[in-house]
Amino acid sequence: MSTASLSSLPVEVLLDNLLDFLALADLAHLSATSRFFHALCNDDILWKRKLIEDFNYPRVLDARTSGYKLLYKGMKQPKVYAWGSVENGRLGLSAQEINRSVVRAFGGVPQPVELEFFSQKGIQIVQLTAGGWSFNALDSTGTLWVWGQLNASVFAFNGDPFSHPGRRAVVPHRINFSDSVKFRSVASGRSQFSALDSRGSVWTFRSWGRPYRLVSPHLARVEQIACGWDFSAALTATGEVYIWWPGNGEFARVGDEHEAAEARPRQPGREREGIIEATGWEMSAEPLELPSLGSLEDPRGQAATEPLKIVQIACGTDFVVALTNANQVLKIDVGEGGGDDGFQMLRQSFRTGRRWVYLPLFSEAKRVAMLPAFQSGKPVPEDMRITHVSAQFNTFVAYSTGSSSVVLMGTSGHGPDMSPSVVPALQHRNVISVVLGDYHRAALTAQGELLTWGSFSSGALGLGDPYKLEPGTPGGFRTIGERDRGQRTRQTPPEVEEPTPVNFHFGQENASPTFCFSAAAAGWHVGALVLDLEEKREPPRVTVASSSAVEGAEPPLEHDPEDPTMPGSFTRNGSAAGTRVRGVPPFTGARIGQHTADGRFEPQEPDLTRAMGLYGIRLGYPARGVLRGAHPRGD
Amino acid sequence: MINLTTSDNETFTVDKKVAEKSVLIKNMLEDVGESDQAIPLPNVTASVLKKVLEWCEHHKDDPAPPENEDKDDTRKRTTDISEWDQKFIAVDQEMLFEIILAANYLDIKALLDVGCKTVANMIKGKTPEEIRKLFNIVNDFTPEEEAQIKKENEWAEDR
Repeated sequence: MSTASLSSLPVEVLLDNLLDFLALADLAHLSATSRFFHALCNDDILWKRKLIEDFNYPRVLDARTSGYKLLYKGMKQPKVYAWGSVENGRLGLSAQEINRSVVRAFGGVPQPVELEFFSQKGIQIVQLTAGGWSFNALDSTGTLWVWGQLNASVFAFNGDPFSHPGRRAVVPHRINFSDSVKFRSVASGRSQFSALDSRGSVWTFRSWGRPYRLVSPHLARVEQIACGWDFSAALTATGEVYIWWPGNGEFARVGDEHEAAEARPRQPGREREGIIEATGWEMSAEPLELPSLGSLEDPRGQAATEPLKIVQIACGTDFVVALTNANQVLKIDVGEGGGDDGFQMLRQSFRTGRRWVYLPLFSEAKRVAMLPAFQSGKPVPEDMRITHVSAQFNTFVAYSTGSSSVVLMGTSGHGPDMSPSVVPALQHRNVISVVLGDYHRAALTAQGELLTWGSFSSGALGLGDPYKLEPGTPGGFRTIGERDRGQRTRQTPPEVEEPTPVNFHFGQENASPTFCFSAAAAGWHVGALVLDLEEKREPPRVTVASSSAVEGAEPPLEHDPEDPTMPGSFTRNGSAAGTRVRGVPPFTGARIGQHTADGRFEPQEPDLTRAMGLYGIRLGYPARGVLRGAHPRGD
Repeated sequence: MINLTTSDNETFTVDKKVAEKSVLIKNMLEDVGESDQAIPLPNVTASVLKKVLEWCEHHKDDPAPPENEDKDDTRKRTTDISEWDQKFIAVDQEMLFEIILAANYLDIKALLDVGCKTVANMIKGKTPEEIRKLFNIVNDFTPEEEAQIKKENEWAEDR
């Protein structure tokens, strides 16, 4: 046996144990000792864990597998942006904020506006979710922030307490819990939302002031929560899925009885200060367990070290999609569950054979590669694996990761043999999240770019004021004539078909480049969490040794960081040189990285990490992130 | 009592309670049941196992780490080490890393933490050059890379 030394420790021990005990400066110093330790200290798994520990970053958020160190660096001051309809106070913008900097058109704000409330108070929002008329957000201390109207189908006076589901919060409000409850993640449905706290308890909010905690023995180890249109769902560490309808059936009955039994305080309490005093209570109704995987075949065969189970869920209007630890996408319909005897009907259907439907065309690389969209266009890598699923309304989305990532979209009607729909512009682009409003959509890339498309929707595309945009620009009118006519007759511009980048510093000169790391959409609104990348980023000078034998390795990088013509370098005003289009305000969306020889865009950070395989250390680096992403550790 | 055989063929006889500080051994015992047969530990030498068992003996009555506790507390990483553990781990570097390797192999989380915290404390406050010297790390960066990494790391210094 060779002599034991620091470098001889298994990578797992170094990454999962030692590095956790190092302060940032020590980590930086260790990374500067050698290539091996540099690669190690830039590992995305490490930085994701640090984000979770230090900033309460949600464990399951999107399909991201890279860029966590950059996120960590920027997380000191993330900014919250919102745009689209201003109805119900859903953007959380003060009248001044709306009037000062923003053009109003058709009841909405057509470009991103920062909610300065958060940056002024130094609050770090780490998760943003959108309800039908609201936003429900989580900060780095585990506190919930809400604005808009949780349930706009009921009317409330401004003097009503926040235990009323219809009470509006026209600016962001903090939800205060008497006992120190800290939240780890949130999920929004149309008019209700759920949150998971640090003790693993699941909370459901039908009103912002009167949430309840589910006290079911089945929900002892909840890993993830999700919300559909009207229902909430929880996934346990062992892979069971439970669902409940807060506004229907037994949950609604118990909830209403509880409300009726309690005298509502009429005095607004500290509401004037923007604080909602939440009075939590315990819900004793039992959620419904979805069927087990049954006879679903395990494609991993003998190699599997743990049993096949569900490791991620997402909910649409009337269905749940799930991802297994063998990267299989499954779906089950639960539409009947919202009725008064919904649970009985669903139980009955589970007994009579309704089960999870396996979707091979959303799961198997070979089947996906055969889809016409990939046959003619960008190919699907043989080792493609779906590592993330999301859902909203009637649509669900399955994601693989990396520069040749695919994004497959399905609808609630999909049977086992139906093909996914493939938006060409989202393929091979490292899309990690797709969110949907009623008639608008947004896709986020791992490189920090947010793309929107669909109909104008009170400005929810966020592409700018259609009356000012150069005709022909996405989000604007086609011609000057149409624009003038549109302005006279207050018509909306045509639909945007091609996903188009959102500019967070619209029309501002000298703005720093931005990196959008999360987006939420619903109804007629969109919100985004954005980092300002203040320092001018220099392209790396590091030349990676010839590496043609290593798959996925970058071509040698060597260029002058001062050369402004280099794609991906930043000019003073923050726009990416060479990407400027005449007539369009400088695009300041994230361009942290550089174009590779074949024109692909590669994130720049971490610089050396991707070449980790070259240093001959013992981890299949690209595989690590992918696998960890799909198989949360735990147990 | 449980018998353990090391890679260099020495056999140690210890209390079941002591041996079961190792999750590896605990699982083995659960799987095969107790027997007079010695459990082979081909990845551990006698000198290291002796040290490890000394630690297990001292900590045999420690409560098992709670599962699925509020993650808040475990998240706050501290490099504090108890006085006894500090004395225990005051060994030469090679033995320190052997103990870490053995704790990892035997799946003794608390001992692995003691080892890693010790290494973390050795790194604490040192310059890259000092860390290289301490652990015999060869600098394989080009001067340009080194300069770039220094710049890249500036943000971490003032936190």
